[in-house]
Parts: sequence; structure tokens; C-alpha cells
Amino acid sequence: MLFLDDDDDLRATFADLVKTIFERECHGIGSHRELIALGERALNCGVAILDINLGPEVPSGIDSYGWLRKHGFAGRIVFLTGHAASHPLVIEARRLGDAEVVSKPVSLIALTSLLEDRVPDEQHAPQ
Amino acid sequence: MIPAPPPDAVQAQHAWRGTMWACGLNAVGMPIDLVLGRDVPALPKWAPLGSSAAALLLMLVLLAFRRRPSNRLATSIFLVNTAIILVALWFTSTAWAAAPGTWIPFQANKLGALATAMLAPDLVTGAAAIGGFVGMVLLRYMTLPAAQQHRFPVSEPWTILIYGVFALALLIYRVHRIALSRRMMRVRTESIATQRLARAFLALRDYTNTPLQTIDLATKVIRKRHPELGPILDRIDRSVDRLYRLNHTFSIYESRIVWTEDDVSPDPSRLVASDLREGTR
Repeated sequence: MLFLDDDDDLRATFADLVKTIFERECHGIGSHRELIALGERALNCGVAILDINLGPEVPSGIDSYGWLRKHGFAGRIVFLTGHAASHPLVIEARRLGDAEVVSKPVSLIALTSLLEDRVPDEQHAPQ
Repeated sequence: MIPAPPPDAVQAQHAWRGTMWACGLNAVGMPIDLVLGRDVPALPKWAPLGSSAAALLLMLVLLAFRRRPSNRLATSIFLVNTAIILVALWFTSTAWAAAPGTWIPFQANKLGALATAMLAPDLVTGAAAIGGFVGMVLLRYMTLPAAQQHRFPVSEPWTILIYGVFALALLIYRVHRIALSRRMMRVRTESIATQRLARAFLALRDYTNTPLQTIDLATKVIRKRHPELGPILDRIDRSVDRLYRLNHTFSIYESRIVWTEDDVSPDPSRLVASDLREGTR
């Protein structure tokens, strides 16, 4: 599993959770640059959860989505965002079609569905 | 962003400026009347000069209160200035009416009525001043000797009534236009304030979502590793849930935001800090 978020604590906690509860490996990365550096290992993941906004004046999660698809990533891509549904980046992410947009906070049930490659029951638009 | 001044302050500034112009026109216009009437026998020089001097004095009073203008002061000075003009015109028009040659009567009153429509601080004051210019003409005409009345051109002095009606119409139009601009300014100010509040709330919500998510997931990890801590973690879960619900209430502000290019990748902490700074000004 690939988890891209610019918050160090959330990234580490997410990786702990995936390892402890789902007993799977999670690659936690903090930026688009780290994603590129991860290269093949990122492309081999089954699920990629990408934060949309990675900070001011840096590539966003949408740029990372583009990189993954361009390099043949065949897994599921989910955008995780704390922003409003009307935010321009969130609207852009929703237009991509083959990626889902899930708002923070994501519950354990929704996370389980994502990792088991099911449509999460609790999937909802960002608030 | 500098907050808009309160509507009363705007009105007072507007009234102050109009009254200052009215006094200025009196101060400058009356000596001109004296120059034009230099060949008029028995034209009382004290009347225009006194009116001009009084206007200068009123301007000084207005200048003294320029930092804290008030409607009441502006209205009072406007009416006093008009009364001074009317007194001066009363005396000069007697001399003009008696002068040899053709006189186009009460030009200054007609001009005064139209100027009042443009400068009066409010509707009632303006109507009173216009009424003063019209009323003085009619009263002056009626008190002139019959021989002088017969020298008046056809339709005089009744044209002053037409000037009075036009001046009133202009005054009403101007007052309504000012009221409309003031309403538009108020709506715009409220809209800006609502946008600012909405942006602050949403930035706050976005800013807190990630730490809350971290706490939420961390409790899940701890619960799995240390099941005996369940009761303590339940309390944390309930607290986090309450914060989530609070965050959810901020969603109502979403529809009130007009996103700009600058908002595409905002730094929430900077946005919150900036909005809080604006709010404390």
C-alpha cells in the first residue's frame, strides 16, 4: 500500500495501522519527489492513498496521480482530502474518473473497504 | 483589508463636504455679485461682503470639526449659510430692482436653488433651503413698489417656481442615489465579512482534520496492541467524535466561499493567522 501525505505524524500512524491491523506493508511518503524516488516499489502497490494538497507551491496529489498512471500503476487510487468539496483541487480530482475522493476523517471501516478493494460503504464527499 | 467606515460616519463626511462647498460658493460668489453691480446705485456693499465674511467664518468652524464631522453640525451650518445668503440677496435685490435699465430678476436665487439640490446634506434641509430661495423671491416681489413690479419681464418672478420644482426633483434624485450607493456599500461590506469568516472557519476545519485523523487512527493502533486500555481509548474516541461533529458544522460555510487562484494551495495556518489578524483590527 502507498500512502502519500505531507503530515509526518499521520503518515507514520497510518503505516502503523496498516501494519498492525491489516498486516500489510505501507510505504509512507511525504511528497511527489519521494514518490518518484520510490519508483518501482510505488508502482507495485495495490492501493495508493494520496492527499490532494501537499502544501503551498509544491506538486499536489493530482500530480502524483498523473505520474502513477503515466508509469503504468494499475492499482486503485484514492484521494484523501480535508478540503471542501467546492475547493478547485477537489473538483479537479473528482473529474479524473478512475480515482475516488474520500474526505478526512476516514473511518476504520472505510479504510478496510479500501484495502480489501471494495467500494467503501462510508465513502462520502468531502465535507 | 481596511474595514468600511460605519454608514453614519460616511453620511457625516458627505454632509460636511457639501456644506463646505456651499459656504465656499457663498464666500466667492457674493463678492462677484458686488463687482457685477458696481454701477447699481445704492447697492449695499455690506450685504455681499458680510455674507462672504460670514461664509468664511462658517468654513473655519467646519474645518475645526473636520476630524469629527456630524450631520447635525453640517445641517445647521448649511441652513445658517443659506439664511445669510437670503438676507444679503434681500437687500441687494431691492437695489437691483430700483436700478435703471433691464434687470433679469433673482438670478442668484435660481442659481442658489439648483446649487442646493447638488450640495444639501439631506432631503429635509435641502427642501427647506430651496423653499427659502423661492419664498424670498415671491415675498420680495410682493413687497416691491408696483412701478418696479411692472418693469419685470414677462413670466417673472414666477419662473422661480419652475426652478424650485426642478431643484426639488434633482435633490430627491440625488438623495435616492446616495441612499442606493450606501445600501450597495453595506451589502458589499457584509459580503466581504461573511467571506472572511467562512474562509477562516474552513481553514480551521481543514487545519484540524489531519491531526484529528492522526489521533483517531492512533487510538485504533493502541486498541489493537493494548486491548486493556479500551475504556480510556473509548473516552478519546468520544472526544474526537465530538470534534469531528464540530468540524462538520463548518460545512455550511462552504457555499459562501468564492475560490480564487490564491486559494488553490493555501497554507491553512497562514490563512487562519491572517484572518485572525484581520478580525482583531
